[in-house]
Amino acid sequence: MLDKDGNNRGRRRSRVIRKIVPWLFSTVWISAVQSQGITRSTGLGIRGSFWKTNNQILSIRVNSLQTASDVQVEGLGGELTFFSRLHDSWFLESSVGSVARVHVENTDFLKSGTDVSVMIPFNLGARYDFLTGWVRSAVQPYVCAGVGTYWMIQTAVKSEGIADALISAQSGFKFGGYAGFGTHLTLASWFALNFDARHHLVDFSSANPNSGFEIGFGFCFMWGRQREIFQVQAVRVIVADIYPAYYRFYNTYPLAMATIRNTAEFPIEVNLRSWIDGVTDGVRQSGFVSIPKGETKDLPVYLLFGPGLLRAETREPAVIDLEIEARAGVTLRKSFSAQVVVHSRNAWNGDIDKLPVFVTPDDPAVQSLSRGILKEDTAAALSGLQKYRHARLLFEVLSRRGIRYQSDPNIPFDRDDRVQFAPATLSSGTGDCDDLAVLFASLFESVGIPAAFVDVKDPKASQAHVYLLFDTGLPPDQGQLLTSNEKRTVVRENATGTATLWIPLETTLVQSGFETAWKQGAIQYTQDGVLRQGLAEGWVKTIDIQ
Amino acid sequence: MNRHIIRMIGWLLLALPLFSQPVSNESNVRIVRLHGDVRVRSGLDEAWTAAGLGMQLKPLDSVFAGEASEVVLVLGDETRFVLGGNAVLDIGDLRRITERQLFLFLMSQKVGRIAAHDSSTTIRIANVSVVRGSQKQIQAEPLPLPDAQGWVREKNGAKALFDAGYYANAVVKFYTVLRRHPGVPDRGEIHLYLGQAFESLNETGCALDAYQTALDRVNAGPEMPKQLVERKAQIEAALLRLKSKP
Repeated sequence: MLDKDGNNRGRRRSRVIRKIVPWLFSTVWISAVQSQGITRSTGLGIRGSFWKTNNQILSIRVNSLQTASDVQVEGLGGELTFFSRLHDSWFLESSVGSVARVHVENTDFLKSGTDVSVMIPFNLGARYDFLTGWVRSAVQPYVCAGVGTYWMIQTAVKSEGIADALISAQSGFKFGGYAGFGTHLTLASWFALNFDARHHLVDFSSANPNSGFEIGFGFCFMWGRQREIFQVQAVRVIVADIYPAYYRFYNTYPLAMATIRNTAEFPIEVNLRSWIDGVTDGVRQSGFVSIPKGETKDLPVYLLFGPGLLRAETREPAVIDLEIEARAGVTLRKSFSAQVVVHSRNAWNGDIDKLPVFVTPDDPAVQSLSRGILKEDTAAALSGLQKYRHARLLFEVLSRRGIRYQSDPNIPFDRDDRVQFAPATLSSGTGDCDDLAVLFASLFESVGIPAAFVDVKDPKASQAHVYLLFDTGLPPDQGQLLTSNEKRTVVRENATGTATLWIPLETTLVQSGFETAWKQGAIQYTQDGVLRQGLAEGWVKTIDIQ
Repeated sequence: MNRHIIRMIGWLLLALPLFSQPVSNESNVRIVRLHGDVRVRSGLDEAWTAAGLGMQLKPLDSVFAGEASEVVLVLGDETRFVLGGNAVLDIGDLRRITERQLFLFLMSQKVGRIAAHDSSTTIRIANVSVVRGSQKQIQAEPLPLPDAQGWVREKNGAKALFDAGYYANAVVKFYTVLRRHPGVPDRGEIHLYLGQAFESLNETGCALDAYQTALDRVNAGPEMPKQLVERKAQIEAALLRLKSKP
């Protein structure tokens, strides 16, 4: 058949169909894949239905003659449905619908008759989505059942002439019930197509004329909470106190632990996003981690710190923000927060293992000073005593420049120890035992002299103390090159595992010169570490800088 | 008058404790006899000075007896200790060492030998394969030979502790000698003494280790003079004795 332009209508129609159908199919398929059937808690739907009852069957009959016509439509109807999640996969549903039979007959110009029978079911029931928790699928089949009232309305209008019409109407209620099954095809978390089939028992009798089958097609809009697929059982803060000087350490150590349970019946993937506003260098993501169905996993929470953390001047509270996202087709998110304290840049918690973080041998001011001093060393460069001589020279020069011992300030309510970085100690000219030990460690390390801290927590004294050891590089049996008193040197393994002679230095005696500092350091080491067994019992510790 | 004198004597007797030295480990070692070249070194001083009778010695002090010399010390509990010829001893070496302290010392010796950075357990991907110029010095002149007499004197001091029955102290001292003089050419003598000290302390496992090391060292050299042959026999007998213990 040709259109007004002379084009074949049939061919044009098939071209349109060929273009639309694949697009429609792709949209439906992609949406179905993406939605993965995580049904929301509430929904409202519309369905067109086709009935087959004892007294009617879906049919449309049209008989038309010259002067008479007979049109009968029956078995068609519609339904408005509403559902709401009760628990997990159980839903409460209610619906109101209608199915009608309309018969219009005209025998001639004056005589006509119209019969309309309508059944309006009001139903309340329950629905169970029996595959929701088992498969990640857009197809969500269900079974349903319920009870309700069926309102029957019959009206008839017969007309014999222009002014002659007979109208009759009757209505009545019947109770009944239904049972059936159906499926949603979830195209998005908020929209689904629906197919439904149910059997109605009006008056709870299959013999009732209005009892029968209903098949419906429609759609629904959904909203509300999606079914949970994971639970956050606990978020534990492991590091409640953040010391800026340790920032490199924190980048490889979890600050908190989140315990997450997979409550779905299929594996999910979880990603943790964590940050502290104004403190961290951006958001740290854990990357998606798979959790098998029904299992619980502890996921570490890391934060991303950078040198900017060293700008902290005072101790301040802060909040770790944590966002947990889980994906199983759709992505669900939950947010948490936990309080921590960010200490000042110079704060030290007294853990001797962490004191080396304050040593900065690559600081330009430190390198400039140490190399500038050693440049003046006119003795032979190639000598087994070079490290000893260089260490001695650096110590003596700083002693002559007036570096002195000064105890830390007493800061109210702040129980942290304070450690100055080497440039600050050089600038102020004073420091306490840890400041001076860090200063000389930085200087020695900057010119390749290995150093170690000696930490003393004497059980018989109330205060702890730290001083320095440095490696002369000499073998243990060459001690006579340094001293005739072997108690003035310590034999210990360096970083490569080689035993060498180390010299203890009491750095707080910097103003008294190298000899005094050496002697006092050796006295302390021998008395506390050896004679009182401090090293063996653990209250004297030596920690290598590198 | 007599009453007055008696009263004064009584007050003096009461005040006497104020003038006596406190009984402490700090200063209750004194020299009661000496013969020949005996010297003392105070604390961490460098110089040795001549020893004198009645001299009080502190734990950080050291005492030296030259060849054919001898010094007798009295300790806090009035026991006597004799240091023979060509020996040096730190007064701190005479401290009481309990079984627990000895155990901790031996463990610390083993732990101290564990490298601080065990590269076999840590995967470290460095930017460079080797840092040039670090921890390496070209010696313009070779280092002088170690003091050959130093380790002998210290070894003799340790032997004096063993001979006096201070077995735990002897063990600690011998280990200190080995640590300071790792290449000591004693041909197993020190480890023989260690084995005997451990055996006296009923530390059979440690004794077996020490005897075995002594045997290895005896067998290490090409020559076997008579003294070494006797030593070897002594070690082997000790090993047999310990291994056959129930």
